[in-house]
Amino acid sequence: MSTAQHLQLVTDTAVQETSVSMDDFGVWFGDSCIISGVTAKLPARGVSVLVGPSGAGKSTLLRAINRISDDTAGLAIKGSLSFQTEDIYAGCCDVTELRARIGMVFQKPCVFPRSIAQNVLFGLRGVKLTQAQKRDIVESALRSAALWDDVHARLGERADTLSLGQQQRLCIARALALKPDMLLMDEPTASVDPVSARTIEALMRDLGKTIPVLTVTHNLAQAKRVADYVMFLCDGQLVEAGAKDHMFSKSALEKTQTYLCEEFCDC
Amino acid sequence: MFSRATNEHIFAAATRIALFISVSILAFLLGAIILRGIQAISLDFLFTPSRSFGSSGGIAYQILGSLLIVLTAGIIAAPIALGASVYRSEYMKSQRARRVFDLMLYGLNGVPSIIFGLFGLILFVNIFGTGLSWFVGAIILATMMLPTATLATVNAMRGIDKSYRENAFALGLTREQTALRIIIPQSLHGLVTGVLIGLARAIGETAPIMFIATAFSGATVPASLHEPVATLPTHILALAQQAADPAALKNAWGASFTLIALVALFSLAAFFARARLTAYSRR
Repeated sequence: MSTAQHLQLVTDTAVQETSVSMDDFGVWFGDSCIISGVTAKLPARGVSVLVGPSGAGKSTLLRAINRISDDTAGLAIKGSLSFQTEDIYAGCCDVTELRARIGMVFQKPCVFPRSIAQNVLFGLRGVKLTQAQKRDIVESALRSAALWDDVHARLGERADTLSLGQQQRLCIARALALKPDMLLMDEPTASVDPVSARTIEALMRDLGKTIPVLTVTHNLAQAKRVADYVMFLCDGQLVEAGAKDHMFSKSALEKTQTYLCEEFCDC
Repeated sequence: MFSRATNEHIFAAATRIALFISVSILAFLLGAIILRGIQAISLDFLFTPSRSFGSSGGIAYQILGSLLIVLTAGIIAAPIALGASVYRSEYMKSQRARRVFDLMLYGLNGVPSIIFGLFGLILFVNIFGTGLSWFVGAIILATMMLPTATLATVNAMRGIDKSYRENAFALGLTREQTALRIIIPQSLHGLVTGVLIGLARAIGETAPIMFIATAFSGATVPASLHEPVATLPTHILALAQQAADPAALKNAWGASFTLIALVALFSLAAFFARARLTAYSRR
């Protein structure tokens, strides 16, 4: 069985309903090909984890899903990428609406210079809400981000008074306040302490029960703890994708085994 | 040639002399104006109109005219500087276009003030037939302030962490919403500082408004946009031409002192506004 056939088989077995599907997808910045020929489907629920060595194109792939890199000079897209059956790189896609539907949390927490409550409601500015509705949204988003107990008594305080771990959870709450159909997380625990990292991991697992969560990590132990589905990228190409158990223990590809077991990649 | 220690001493001494020259010139200038000018300052001098072509009376209308013309210029310049900075920072993607824009602003900043005056005279007075108008003077001073205000705002916008933009875009905010809610509030300190520094410079300008906006005598409170005003710099110029008269010379020093005080006031306001608004934008 060829690698491509093996990959197709593994992907189809692991993914029944899809949130994102990519067909021969590639991203170029000027003359540099960052990712190419990625054909994969992401499950409609659960936590999918993108792993691979530095420079493999993980963050580029993640950022392509909500088109956050659209303004980068020289960006060119090849192939197709569909979110819930809609080709998001087709001309008719409303990018700002897409970004509101696909929430994103970045590696470094970035809270706006406003209060905690205002941060949660930031993406909803322009939407007419009563005070009661605002309170409900703030509470619900902060509870979903496991932050309510820490901050409910000081919602009017500046968000930058929170610890980094709390700020990262506030960023998650801010994204959740928009009730996204999917959540993208680019190394969300890279800048926080281990305790906060574990809280965020638990949060990912919880969120994965209701919406698809796609996260990038360099931490394979973390990938093992949170993933339902794993995609292994190397040198801009998808090496293998499949359910966590398959990827960590039953992969037939030597490259996958070497990277996931020995954290080494020679590509 | 010399030992390392000697070189060090020579270098330190040379820089100390350079510092002394620059500070002493400023100190001498300010000292002379303060010492001579303070003798003319009184409530009467500040709040009564001038008489006998300025050799007696005060400088009330000159202060009023100067403030009216520069504050109006600030009001005109601020939104244009803000708009241009937002466009340059948020919409102008080509680095080359940005460099050209910056270069043009630096170029505009270096244009001699008399050229602005000449431009105003030709465009407004000769072509549009406005006659002497304080409002036209304000427009010309606004043009002069524009590069300072724009460059200060652009620099403030350049300093905003790009993660703010990315996070705003990731929440589905449009470029316009991001500019209004993130970029402008965070760069307000640059705009206010730039405008106030521009005001400090503009209030002392004589050349750009001399032919188009000011009257050397007889101007009071303007009843319309098409009337001239009296300003401090043109008043000082008029008094300096009567330097043989000790009373006129005394009033010239008094008016100079008042002008310097107003410049210092705007500069101090810029300093405090920068400190306060920077702290605010980081909150």
